[in-house]
Amino acid sequence: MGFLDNIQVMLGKKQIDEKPAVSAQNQLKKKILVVEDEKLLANALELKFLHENFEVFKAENGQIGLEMAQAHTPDIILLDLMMPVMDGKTMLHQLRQIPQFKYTPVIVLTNAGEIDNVRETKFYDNASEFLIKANVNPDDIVKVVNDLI
Amino acid sequence: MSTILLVNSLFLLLLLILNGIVLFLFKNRGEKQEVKQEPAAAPAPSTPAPQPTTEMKEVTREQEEKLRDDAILANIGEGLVIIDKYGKIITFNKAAEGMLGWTAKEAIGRDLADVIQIDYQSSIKVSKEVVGNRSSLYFIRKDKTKFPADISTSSFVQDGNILGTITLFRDVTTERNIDIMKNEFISLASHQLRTPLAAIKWYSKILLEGDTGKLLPEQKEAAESIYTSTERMIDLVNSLLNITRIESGRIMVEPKPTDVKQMIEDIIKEIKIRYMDKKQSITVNVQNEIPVINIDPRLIRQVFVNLLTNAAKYTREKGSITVVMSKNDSDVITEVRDNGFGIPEKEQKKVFDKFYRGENMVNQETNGTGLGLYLVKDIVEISKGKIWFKSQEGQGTTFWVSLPLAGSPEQKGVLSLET
Repeated sequence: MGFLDNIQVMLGKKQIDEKPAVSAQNQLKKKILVVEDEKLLANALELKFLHENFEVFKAENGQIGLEMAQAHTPDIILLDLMMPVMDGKTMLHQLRQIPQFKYTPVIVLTNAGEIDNVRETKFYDNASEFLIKANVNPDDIVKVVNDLI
Repeated sequence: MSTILLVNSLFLLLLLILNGIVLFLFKNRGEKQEVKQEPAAAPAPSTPAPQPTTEMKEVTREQEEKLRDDAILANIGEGLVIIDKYGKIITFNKAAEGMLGWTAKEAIGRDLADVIQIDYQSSIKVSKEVVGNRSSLYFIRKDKTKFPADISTSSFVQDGNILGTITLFRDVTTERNIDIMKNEFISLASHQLRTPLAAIKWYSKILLEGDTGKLLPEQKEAAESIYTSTERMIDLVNSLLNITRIESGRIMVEPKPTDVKQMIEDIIKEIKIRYMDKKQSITVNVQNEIPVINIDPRLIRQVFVNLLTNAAKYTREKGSITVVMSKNDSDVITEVRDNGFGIPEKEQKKVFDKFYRGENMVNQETNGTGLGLYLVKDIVEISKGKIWFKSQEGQGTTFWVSLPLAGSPEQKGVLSLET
C-alpha cells in the first residue's frame, strides 16, 4: 500500500484490505449514482456533476438504487435517506452485503430531520460522509466527492 | 305665647319618645332575625328562643368563617398542601386528594415526602427560569402513575412566626402536551421547508458558477440576490430547528476538555475575514492563565460565534471590539465589548427573547433572525454557565459569559444542534 493509502486508512476512509480502486484509473469518466426522490434536487446534482465530467445515474428510491448500482458499478453514491419504497438506510445496509460494494464511498445527503442522532448516522454501514442538503452548496458536494475517489 | 311654647315642647317630647320606641322596635327585630338563622340544632319550639348574648354572636361568626374557608379550600382548582415546621402535613385540600390519590385523612400527619413523591428523572426542564418560587416537576400519585405539576411554594407565617410551608400545585399535563405538539410542528415544518430551500440554493449557485452558460452582469446580480435571500431563510430554519431541539430537552451535552481561549481566537480569525470591509479592530486581552475546561465545544462555539458576530454586525466601520478573558475561583469569564450602536434601555429586558431585534438596528442591518441570543442563553444555561450584559444606546454593548471551571454536566440526549 502506498503512503497515501496509509493516510486514508488512518483517516478511516479506507479499509486495509480494500481492493484497489478499479474504475477511477481505467475509465475516462468517473461514475456517480444519485439516489434521491426529489426530482428538483436530483436534477440539480445531475447538472452539476455532468459539468464536472462525471457520468451520472439517477435512482428515485432505494430499490431502483440497488438495481442501478449493480448495473453500472458507480465509483461513488450520493444517498438520500427519506424515500418511498425503500429508504436510504435500508438500501445502504443491503448494498454493503454485496461484496462488490462493501467499500464503495457513500455520501449521505439529507435534511436531517429524519435522523435524530447525527453522530450515529455517520457510522452506520460505513457511510463515508454525512451532509445536510440545505446547508451545503453543490460545489461543496463536488469537493467531497473528489476527495473520496 | 307661653301656650305656644308649651305646645311646641310637648310636641317635640312626643316626637322624641316616638323615635325611641321606633328604634327600640327595629333593633329587636334585627336581632330576632339573626338568632333565627342559626343552623339545625334549634331548641324545641315550645321553649322561647334565648336572647342572643355577645359570646354566642362571636362563636357563630367564627363557625361561619370556618365553614366559608373550608368551602373555599374544597373548591379551588389548585392542590393545596400545608406542612408544619416538622414537615408533617396539616392541610390537604380536595383538589390535592383528587390529583394525588390520597385522602386528606390518610395524608394529614404524614411526612410530605411520603405523600408527594417526585420523579426527578422524568422532570424535564420546560421553563428555563425558576420564576419566584415556581418550578415544574413530575409528581407520583398513590397508584404510582405520574403527572407534570406546576408548583409554587411560600412560607406560612402567622404573627411574625414561620409555622410551616404552603405548597400550591396544578396538573399541567395539557399545557405540556401543547408545548410538545408546538415543537413537533415547528420541527416538521422546518424540515419540509428545507427541501425547496435546498433546491433554490443549489440552482442559484449553479447559475452563478456558469454551469448553465455565462451570465450577463445583471443576471449574475439577480442570481446572487436569490442566493443570499435563500441563505437567510435557511439560517432561520436552522435556528428554529435548534430551538425546538433545545426546548424538547433532548439535546445532548457532551463535555470535552476545551481550550476556550483557542476557540475564541479561531472564531475571531473567521469574523475578521467575514467583516473585513468594516475595518474594525478586534483584540483579545487575556488576564489570567485560562485553563482547559470540560464544556461541549460544539455548543459553546455557537455562543461565541453569535456574540462576536453580533458585535461586528452592530458596530460601525472602524469601530472596535475587545474580548477580555479572565478567571476567578469558580469560572472562566469572557467579556465581549464593542463600541457600537448599543441596545436602547427600554428594550434591554427583551434582549434574550425569541425573535427580538433592536428597533434601532433593524433599519441598519436587516440580516438577522432574532433567534441568536435566545439560543445562546439556552446553551449557556444548559452548560451551567451564566450570561449577562450592559449596554448604552449609541455607546456600545458588553456581554459577559461565565463558564464553570468544574465543567458542564453531561446530558444524555438524542439530538445535537446543527451549525
